[in-house]
Amino acid sequence: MNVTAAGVAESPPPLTVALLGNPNTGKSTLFSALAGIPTRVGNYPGVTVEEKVGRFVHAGRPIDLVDLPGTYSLAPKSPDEKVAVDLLRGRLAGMPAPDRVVIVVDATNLERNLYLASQVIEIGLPTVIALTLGDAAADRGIEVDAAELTRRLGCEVVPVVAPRRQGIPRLADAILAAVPPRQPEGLAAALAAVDPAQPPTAREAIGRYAWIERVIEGVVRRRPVARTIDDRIDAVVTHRVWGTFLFALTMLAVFTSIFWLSAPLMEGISFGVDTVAEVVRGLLPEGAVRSLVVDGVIAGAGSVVVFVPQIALLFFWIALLEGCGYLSRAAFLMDRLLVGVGLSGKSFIPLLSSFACAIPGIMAARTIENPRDRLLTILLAPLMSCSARLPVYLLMCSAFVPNVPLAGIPWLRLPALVLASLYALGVIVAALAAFVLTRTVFRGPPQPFVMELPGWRWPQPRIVLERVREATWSFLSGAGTTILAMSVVLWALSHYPRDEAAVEAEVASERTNLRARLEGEADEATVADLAAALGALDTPEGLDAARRGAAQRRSFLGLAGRFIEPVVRPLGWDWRLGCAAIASFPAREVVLGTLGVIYNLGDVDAGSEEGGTVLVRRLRSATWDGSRRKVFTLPVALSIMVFFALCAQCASTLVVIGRETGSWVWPLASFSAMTVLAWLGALVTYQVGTFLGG
Amino acid sequence: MTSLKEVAIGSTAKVELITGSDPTSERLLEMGITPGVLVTVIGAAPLGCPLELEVRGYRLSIRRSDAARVTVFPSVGLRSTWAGDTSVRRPLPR
Repeated sequence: MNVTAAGVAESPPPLTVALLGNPNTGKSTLFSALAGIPTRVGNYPGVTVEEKVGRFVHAGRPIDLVDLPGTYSLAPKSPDEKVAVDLLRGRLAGMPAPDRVVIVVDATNLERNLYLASQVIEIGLPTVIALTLGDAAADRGIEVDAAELTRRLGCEVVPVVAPRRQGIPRLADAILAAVPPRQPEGLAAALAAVDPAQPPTAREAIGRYAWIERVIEGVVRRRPVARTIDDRIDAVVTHRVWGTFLFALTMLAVFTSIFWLSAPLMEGISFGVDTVAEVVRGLLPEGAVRSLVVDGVIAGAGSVVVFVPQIALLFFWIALLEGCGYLSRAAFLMDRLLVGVGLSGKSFIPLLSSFACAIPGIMAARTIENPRDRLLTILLAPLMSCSARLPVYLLMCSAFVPNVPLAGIPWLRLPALVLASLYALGVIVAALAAFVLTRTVFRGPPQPFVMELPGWRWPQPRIVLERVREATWSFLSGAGTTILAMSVVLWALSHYPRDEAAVEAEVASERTNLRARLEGEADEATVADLAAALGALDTPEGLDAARRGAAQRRSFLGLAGRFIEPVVRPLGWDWRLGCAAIASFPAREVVLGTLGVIYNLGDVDAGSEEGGTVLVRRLRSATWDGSRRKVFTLPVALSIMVFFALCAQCASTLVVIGRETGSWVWPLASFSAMTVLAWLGALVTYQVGTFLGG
Repeated sequence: MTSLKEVAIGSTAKVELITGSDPTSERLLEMGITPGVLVTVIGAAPLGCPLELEVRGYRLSIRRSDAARVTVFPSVGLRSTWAGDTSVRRPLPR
């Protein structure tokens, strides 16, 4: 043993072991059985492929287990597969070739799994084969003779049942003892024997499978079994009627849990953040520092953490469905619907989740291996109307859309139709965008959609939890820090420049203004609204709210609102609405709160019945500066809703797009394109609405 | 000449040739759809596409448009290769 001068035993250098295998082979379960929770999770240099490394010690030797993305062959078709292949061949910048390779081979599907295994053995690195899912194979009457397979492949084959840790110590021993394998017997001959008339791409596959068929002869014993459980489950799950019904039920469960179940959790988080903010507010002296800490940092951290329940719940479902084998069946069932717009069935769950929130939806696009489909799905996700837009729709519909029945049907009312149309609008625009994008920016040869439908199995609770933890952590540590930094910047933009005298002057002119309007007003309802607004200015809270409103209107964000007034005029908006649209950028879910502040209501809880009513009354009485003309009419309300349905006024979404695509080009492009779309949509809505109405 | 696209649901066919040499054809071959192998068409998604296949003892899904590039010999009968199951597997009535 080496002993350093300090007298501490020097441990031998860690052994780098690559864990490689086909997708759906129980590779993650094996990783966690060998190495436990990963000690390092990050991205490979230059690509958005996740790198996962776990360190464990076996027989005194530290081992770094590198989990490579699942791949079907060493001729990569996706960035994920390319990383696996490059690492194995030592071609990845800054990463030497691994010292050992563990190939995960699924006993239920030996023939196809040996395709990759035979390619890896040929590289000549010290290799061990972990034979997984032996229990599932036994259920199907399949028995694999591991000793004979070891002899024929020239490298150690260790049967493991990873969830029960069976065979794990033996596998670790085999990893330490592994030596470079000899070339597999007969493989070169089989490859050479292929009919040269076959196209070159086919020759390797034909040769390898011919060799594999000979290798497994006598190694795999099949005992006839009655119709297997897989067969029976599949017959129902992919059935035209029952399959569709089950699918609808599952998606309903997924969607309800991220849409409704997350709500109390998110409220709890908001409550916690508010409590912390109050405590801190009490501890710090009034001033810019207090505002920075409370309204900038704490509120910003809150706006990050608030996404965690939705992300965690969605990834819980994804891990569960992936673990049992349903995720690929769901893609199978939905593929036809999405082919038309140039996507595949794998985009369905990410897009569906985006109706709750685009952030978990964009993250769920990680389950799409094809990089083009993944990027396209990420770009379309924010067009789905998320739950943060719903309060805007509901408030505008209830306040400005006449509640009249349609076509004489009492239960079908205009606001409901408007609401449904807004959801449809997002979907239709997304479909059109996909149609255009796949014919321009994303033009290229069709991508392979050759998807394995893995055998049914029980999801591993450990793997499910690990997946949830991983997704949540990657959001908090990656996107979260950027969102927090952005919140602080946006706080500064909405708090500076501060000019107390100008604020007081504006509040005073507001008072004069209200009085003047009250005197000449005949309409009773408006008189009541104006009187209420004027009365509020005499209460301490009302005065404070008015000051905050004035300060925000005079801030950089407010100035930007005034600056863009000529741009929003054609949409029927006054500068206050322009301000609200810009000020909602930090987080779309606060747009109503922002409206409240801008209209001198302070922190109004627009979600509550009382707060909503107050806000509606204030909005209804709002007029254009220096005139009695009302700002909010039906065409204006519609144009606001259409704008919010299509815009990308959500900093967090853009940060997550940047994070998931590994580039700032996509969030910028997405923001610009969606803003133009939203503006055009709102313009058409207002102009057509005004034309029809007038 | 028949393609896998035309094979009836529940039938098994022997693969003759994979046409094309793009990534899709390459993937089909790597996944074990090689000349001489038996492929059973298990079913199709509710909207008619994609197809569910069984090849070399496992299940695979490909689109009809991709199945067109797999040339097969005429049907060899209703037989499943799944786990040595020699019984005739009839698709559920649809």
